[in-house]
Amino acid sequence: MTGATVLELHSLEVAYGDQQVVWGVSLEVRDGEVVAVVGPNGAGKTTTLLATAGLLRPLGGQVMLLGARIDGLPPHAIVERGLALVPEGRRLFGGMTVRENLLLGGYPARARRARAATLAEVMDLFPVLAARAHQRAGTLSGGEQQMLAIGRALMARPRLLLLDEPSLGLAPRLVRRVFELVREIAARGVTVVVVEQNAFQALAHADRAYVLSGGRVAAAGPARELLAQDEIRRTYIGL
Amino acid sequence: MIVVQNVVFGALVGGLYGVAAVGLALVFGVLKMLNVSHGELIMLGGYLSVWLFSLWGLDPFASLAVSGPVLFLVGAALYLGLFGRLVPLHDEEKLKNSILIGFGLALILQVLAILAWTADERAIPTAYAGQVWRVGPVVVPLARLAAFAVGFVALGGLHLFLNRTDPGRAIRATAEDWQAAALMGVSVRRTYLYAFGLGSALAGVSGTLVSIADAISPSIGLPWTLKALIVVVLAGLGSIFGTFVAGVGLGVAESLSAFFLGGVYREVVGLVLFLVVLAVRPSGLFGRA
Amino acid sequence: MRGVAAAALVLGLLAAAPALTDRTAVLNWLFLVLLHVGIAQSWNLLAGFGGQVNLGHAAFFGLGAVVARVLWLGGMGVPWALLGGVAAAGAAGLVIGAPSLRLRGAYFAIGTLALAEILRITFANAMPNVSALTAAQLGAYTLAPRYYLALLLAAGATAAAWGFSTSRFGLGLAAIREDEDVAAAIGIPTFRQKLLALLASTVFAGLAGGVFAYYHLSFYPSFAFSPIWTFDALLITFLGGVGTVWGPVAGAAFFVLVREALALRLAELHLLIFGALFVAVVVALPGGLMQAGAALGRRRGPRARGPAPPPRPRDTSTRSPC
Repeated sequence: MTGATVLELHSLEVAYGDQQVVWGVSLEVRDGEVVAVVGPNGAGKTTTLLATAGLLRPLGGQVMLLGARIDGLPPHAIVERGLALVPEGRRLFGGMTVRENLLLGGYPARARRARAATLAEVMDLFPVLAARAHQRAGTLSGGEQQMLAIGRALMARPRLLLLDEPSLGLAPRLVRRVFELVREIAARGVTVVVVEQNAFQALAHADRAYVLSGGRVAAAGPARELLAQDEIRRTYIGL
Repeated sequence: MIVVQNVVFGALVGGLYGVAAVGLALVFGVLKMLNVSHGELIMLGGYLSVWLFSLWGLDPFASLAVSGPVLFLVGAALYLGLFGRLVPLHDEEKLKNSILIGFGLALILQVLAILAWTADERAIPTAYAGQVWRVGPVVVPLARLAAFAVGFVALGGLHLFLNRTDPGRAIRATAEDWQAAALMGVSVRRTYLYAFGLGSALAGVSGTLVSIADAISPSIGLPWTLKALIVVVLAGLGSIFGTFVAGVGLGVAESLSAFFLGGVYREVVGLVLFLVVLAVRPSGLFGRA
Repeated sequence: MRGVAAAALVLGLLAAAPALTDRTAVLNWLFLVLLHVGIAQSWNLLAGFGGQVNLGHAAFFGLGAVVARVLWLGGMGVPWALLGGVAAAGAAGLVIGAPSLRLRGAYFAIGTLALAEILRITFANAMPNVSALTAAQLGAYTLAPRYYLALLLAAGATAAAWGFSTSRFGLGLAAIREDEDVAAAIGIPTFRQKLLALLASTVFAGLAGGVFAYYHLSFYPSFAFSPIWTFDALLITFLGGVGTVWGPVAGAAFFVLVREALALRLAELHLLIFGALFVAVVVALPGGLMQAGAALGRRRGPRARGPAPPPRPRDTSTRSPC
C-alpha cells in the first residue's frame, strides 16, 4: 500500500444508448484499497464501470488510471495499462474451455510473457479451475463461473480490478467466499473496486465506499462508518 | 453403380462448397456481416490462378500460395474501405447494410472481371487434368480429388489456427462476445480486419481449387455465394468440420437430384432446401450449434 | 398543391411527347427512362417505404415479362396479356410474401435472392429458346403504344409511392420500418401492411416486366429473371433517394442518360459507375443521407464506442417516424 492514487473519476457523465445515466460522479481509489460502490438498481454503478473500462465513452468528465487519462481510449488499450473488469453476468466465453478462457485473460502484452506462471498462480488460487481446465465454461456452476471470471481477470496481471456485481446469482455461502477472495486479492497488491447491490457484504469487506444514487455520489467515506449510519442501512441495506 | 459415381463426384465438388462456406461463416460469425460478394471473391481467386498459369505456367496448386494472401489483402481493403464503416450500427441494420454493400460489390467485381477477362469461360489446361483413378467401376478424377484433399487440409490448418494460437482464440472470443473480448485486451477492430481478410483468403483458396477442375467466368459469383450461404444455413456456425460435411452433403444432394430428377434440379435443390430451412427456423438460423 | 401541379405538367408533357417529336431516339430514351422508373419505383414501394429489402425483385419482373409475352404472342390482346403478367407477379408475391415476410430484414433479403435464382434457373431450363416476334408482328410494331404503357407504368408506380408517403397506411409502414415490435405493440397490423406493400411492389414489377416484354423484339426468357434487374432497381433507387417519391424518377433519368451516353464506349462501364456510387451511398447512409434512408440504418447512441452495445434499457429514441 503506497497510498498512490490508482483510479480517479472526475465529474464523470455517461449515457447508455440515448439516455444519460451518470450525472457527475467523482471518486478516487488508492493503491491496495478495496473500494465498494453501492446503491440501488439504476443508480449508474455499472454504467460508471463500463465507462471506466472504455466500453462506453463518457459524455463529460475524466477518467485517470495511474495518473494518465484513459477516457476515450478503446477498452483493449485500457486493459493494456493495467485495468481489468469482471463484467456483470461474468461474460465468460461459454463455448471455450476453462483453460482457453484463462489464456485469453492473459492476452494483453503486459501479461503474455509471464502467462504460464500466472496461469499456475490462478489455478493455485482456484483449484476447482485446475480440475475443470478442459471443460467448457458454459457447463460450470454459478460459483465456479464466478471463480473463472475473476481468475480470468487476474490473468491480465492488473493493477486495478473492477468487479461488477460479483455476488449476483450466488448462494450466500459463495457470496461470502467471493468477498473473502476480494480481500485475498487485495492482499496480493491488486487494488479492487467492487460494485454491488448487496451493500452489506460489500461494505463489510471494503476499506472505503461510495454510495451512488440517481447517477450521483450520495455518500462517501470509510466503509465501516457508512455501514453504521442509520440512513444508509435503512435506504440501501434494508436493516 | 452410376449412383455411386454420382455420389463420389458430388462429394468432391461439395468439399469445395464446404471451404467456400467456412470463409463466409467466419466473416459472419465474427463481424455479424454477410458478404454476399463472397462468390465474386472466389471468382477472383480463380481468375488469379488462371492468369498465373497462362502467364508463367504456374500450376494452380502452387498458385494457392498467391491467391490466399492476395485475397486476404483484398478482403482487408474491402473491410477498411467499406464493411468496417458498418461496425457502429445495430445488429439488424449492420447485417442488412452489409448485404446491400455486398450486393453492389458483387456487381462491381463482376463488371471488372468482364472488362479484364471478357465474359468467356477460362479454364486451366494442366497436364494432369484428365487423369483418373479407377476404384472398381467408379472413376475418380484425380485433380478434383487432390483439390478436395487440399481444401480439407486448409480447413484443418484453419482449425488449428483458431484453437491453438492466441490470434485464433482472440477471433473466436470476438465472435462469441466482442465486449468481453475487448476486456481481454483484444483489439476488436483489428480482429474484425483479420477475420474479414481470412474469410476472403479462404474465398481465394476456394477459387483456385475451383479453377483446377472447372472453368472460371465472371458469372460464377452469385451461384457460389448462394452455395456457400446454403451450406452455412444447413450447418449452422458451430464447427468447421460440420460445415465441411454439410458442403459435401450439398454436393451429393445436387448430384443425386440431377441423376434422379433431371439436370435442372441440380442447382435448384440446394436453393429450395435453403428456403425450407429459412422458413422452418428463421431466427435460430445462424445460431450456434 | 404546387407539387401536384408540377407533376401534372410533367405528365402532360410526357403524354404529348409522341406528338411533339418524331425522333424515335428521343422517344426511345424516354421510354427507357419510364420503364426504369417503373422498375425502381416498384422496388422502392417495398424497400423504401416498407423497409423490406427485396433482392429477388427480378423474379416478379421476370414473371410479369414472361407471362405477358407468352399470352401476347399466343394471340391475347395486349391489355389482357399485361394483366396476366401482373396477375402472375402479384400472385407470386402473395404466395411468397406470406411465409417470407415472417423473416426479418436480412433473411428476407437473402431468401428473395435465392427465390429469384430458382426462377431464373427454372425458366432457363423450361424456356431456353429466344422469344422472337413474327414477321407480321414486326411489321406492325410501333413505339407509341409501348411508350404510353411505360408512361402509365411510371405514373402509376409513382402515384402509389406518393400515396404511400401521404396516407395513414404509409405512416403505419414508416412505424414498422422504424421499429416493427413497437409498431405491432401500438396496434398496427404489421403483417398485413407489409404484405400489401409487397403486393403493390410485385404488381408494379410485373407490369414493368410486361412493358419490357411488349417492347423488346426478342429476348431470352431467363434474361428477364436476371439479377441485373434487381441491381438496376437498387442502384436507381439508392442514388435517387430510397423512400422518397421522386428519387427513383430522378435516378432513372440519370441512370438511362449515363448508360446511353456510355453505351458507345464500354457497355458495362455505366454499371461500374453506378455500382460504385451505390456502394458509396450505402456506406454513407448512417450519416443520414436521406431521411427514409436513415431509417434503414440507425446508429446507436452518440457516445458509445466501437460496435453497438447490446440493448439493455429500451432505446428511447425520440426520432419521429416520418
